[in-house]
Amino acid sequence: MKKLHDIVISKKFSRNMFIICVFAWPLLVGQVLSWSINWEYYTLAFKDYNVTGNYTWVLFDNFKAYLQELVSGGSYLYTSLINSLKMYILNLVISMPLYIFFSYALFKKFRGKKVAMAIIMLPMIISGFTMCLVFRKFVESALPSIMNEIFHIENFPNLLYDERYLFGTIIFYMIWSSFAMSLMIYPNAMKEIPDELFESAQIDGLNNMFKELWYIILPMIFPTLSTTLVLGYAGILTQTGPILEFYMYDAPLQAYTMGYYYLSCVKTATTYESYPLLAAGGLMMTAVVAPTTMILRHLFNKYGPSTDM
Amino acid sequence: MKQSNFKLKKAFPFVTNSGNWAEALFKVIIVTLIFILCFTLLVPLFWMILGSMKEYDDFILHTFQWPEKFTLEPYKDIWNMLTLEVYTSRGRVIYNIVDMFLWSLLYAVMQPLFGLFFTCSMAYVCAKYKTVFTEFIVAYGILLMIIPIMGTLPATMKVYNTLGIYDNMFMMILVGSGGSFSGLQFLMFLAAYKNIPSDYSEAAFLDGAGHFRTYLQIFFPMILPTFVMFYVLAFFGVWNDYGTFLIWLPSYPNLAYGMYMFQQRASSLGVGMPTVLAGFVIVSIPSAILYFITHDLIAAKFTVGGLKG
Repeated sequence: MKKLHDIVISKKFSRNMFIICVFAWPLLVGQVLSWSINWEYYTLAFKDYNVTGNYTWVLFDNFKAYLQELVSGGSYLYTSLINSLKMYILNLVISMPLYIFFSYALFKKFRGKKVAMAIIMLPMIISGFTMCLVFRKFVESALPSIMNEIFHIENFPNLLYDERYLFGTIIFYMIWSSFAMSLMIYPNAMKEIPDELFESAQIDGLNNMFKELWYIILPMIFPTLSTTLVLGYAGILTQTGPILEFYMYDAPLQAYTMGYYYLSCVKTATTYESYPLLAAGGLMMTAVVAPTTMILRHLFNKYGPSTDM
Repeated sequence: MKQSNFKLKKAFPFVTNSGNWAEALFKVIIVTLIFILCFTLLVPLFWMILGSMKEYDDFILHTFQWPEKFTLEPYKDIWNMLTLEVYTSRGRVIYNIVDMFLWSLLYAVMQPLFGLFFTCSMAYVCAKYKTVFTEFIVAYGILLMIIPIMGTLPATMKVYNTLGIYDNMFMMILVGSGGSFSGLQFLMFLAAYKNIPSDYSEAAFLDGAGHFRTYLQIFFPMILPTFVMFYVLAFFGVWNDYGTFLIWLPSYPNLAYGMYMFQQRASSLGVGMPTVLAGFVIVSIPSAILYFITHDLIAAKFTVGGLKG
C-alpha cells in the first residue's frame, strides 16, 4: 500500500491537483450559476405568476400566448422580431463587403494608415454610450442647424424620432460605429498569411486585387470570417443595438429589437408576472436559432475553403 | 517625369501597384471612403469637445460653430452637479463624481483582472494538459459560444436576486470568472499557449519546478503581452459599461451609468448641453489616455482563429 507521502508527491497527483485548482472556482461559479439559471429558465416558461408572486403550473399556455402575440402584425413582439432580422441582414449585406475591402487596404498599407486606424478605433475606447449620446445630440441639435445654415433646409426632422427615418438612422449608426472591431480582426488575420503565397501568386501572374482577394486572402482568412459570421448569427435575436442608449425605455415601436424588447420588459416590470411569457418565447427562439447556428457552423467547416495542403 | 512617377509610387504604393486603371480607381474610392469614415467619426467628437467649452447661450445660438469664448465653466458645473441618488439597503445614498469614479476604477480594474486570469489559466491547462476532461472543456466552451440561449434575462434576474448576487459589487466581480472557458479571449489564449513549445515545461520539471511555478514563472510571462492587450480591451469595455450597472448594480453607479442617468434628467434639472458634453469628455479621458499608451500593442496582438473542433 502506498504511503500518503508517496501519494502526495506522485507526479500524477500533483498534476491533477494543479488542474483541479485552476478549474475549481470558474467551473463552480459558472456551472452553479448556469444550471440555476437554466433550471429557472426552463421551468419559468411553464408557470404563471400572479401579482402576489405566487405561481401555478400552466403547461403550454405561455407558449400559445407568445405565438399569438408574435403572429399578430403590429404588436411589439412582431415588430421586434422583424426589426432584428432586418438589422442583421442589412448589417451583413452592407458591412461585410466594406469590412473586407477596408481591411485589405489597411493590410496593404497606404499613407495615413496609422492615423486612420487610431481614429477608427475611437468608438471602442470612447464608450458606446458616449458615442451614442453624442450622435443623438448631434442629430437632434447640430444636424438641423447645419441643414438650415448650409443647405437652407428648414424644419429638418429629428432623424431619431421621425418614423420615416429612425430605423435607417439606427442602421447607419450601427454600421458606422462597427468598423473598429472588424478593422482590428481582419487585417491581423490577413497579416498571418505567409508572404510566400503572395510571391508565388505574383509569379503565376496574379496581380489583380480582386483575384488576390478571391483566391488567396478570403480562403486564408475564412476561419476568422466564419467565426465572426457564426457568432453574429448566434446573436441575431439577443442584440439590443444602440436602442437603449438612444431612447432609454421609451423607444418608438419602429425601433424595437428582440434584445431591447426583453430588456425593457424585464427592467420595467414590478412583479414576475410577465417573466413566464418571455421565458417561453426565449425557449422557442432558442429551439430555432441554436440548431441553425450549429448547421451554419457545420456548413462553413465542411464546404468552406480549406487551407490544408 | 520619371522622378515624379517614382515619388508617386513611393507615396501611394497601394494605389500605384494596380493591374489597371479600374483597379486603381477602386482603390482610390476605398481609401477615400476610409478617410470619410474617419472624418465622420471625428466630427461628433470635436463637436463634443468644443461644445463642452462653450457658454450656454453661445451653444444655443451657434450650435455647430467655433466657440465665441472658451470657458471651463461646464466642467466646474458637471463636477458639482453630477450626482446620483440611489436607494439601497442602507437607505438613501447620494453619490458624487468622485464616488462614481472610484466605483468605476474598482470594477474596471478588478473584474477583468479576476476574469482574465482564470481564462488565461484555464487556457494554459487546456493547451498543455491533454486529458479527456480538458478536451471536453474546450468543446463545451465552443458550444456555449455558438449556441445562443434567448430570453434568459428574467431567469437570471430571479437567480441573482435569490443568490444575493444582484446589486452586490463583490459578488459581481467574483462571478465574472464563470465564463472563463468560453469566449474569444479563451480561444486566443489557447492558440497562443499551443504555439509555445512544451520543452520549456519539461526543462522546468527536470529542474524541480512544480506545475504552479512552471505556469506562473515561465508560461504566463511569455503570454503577458497578449494578456495585457486583452486586459486593456476589457478595461475599456468595463470602464464604459453602463448596462451592467443599470441592470445588475444599480446601487454602485460608475461614471458611465451616472452620466447616462444625469443626461436623461438634464433638461428637468435645467442643465445646459455644454455641461452634459463636459461630462461625456470627463468619462472618456481615462480610456483615451490608456488607448494612446497601448494602441500599438492592441493593433499587433489581436487575431481571431477558427471554431473548428
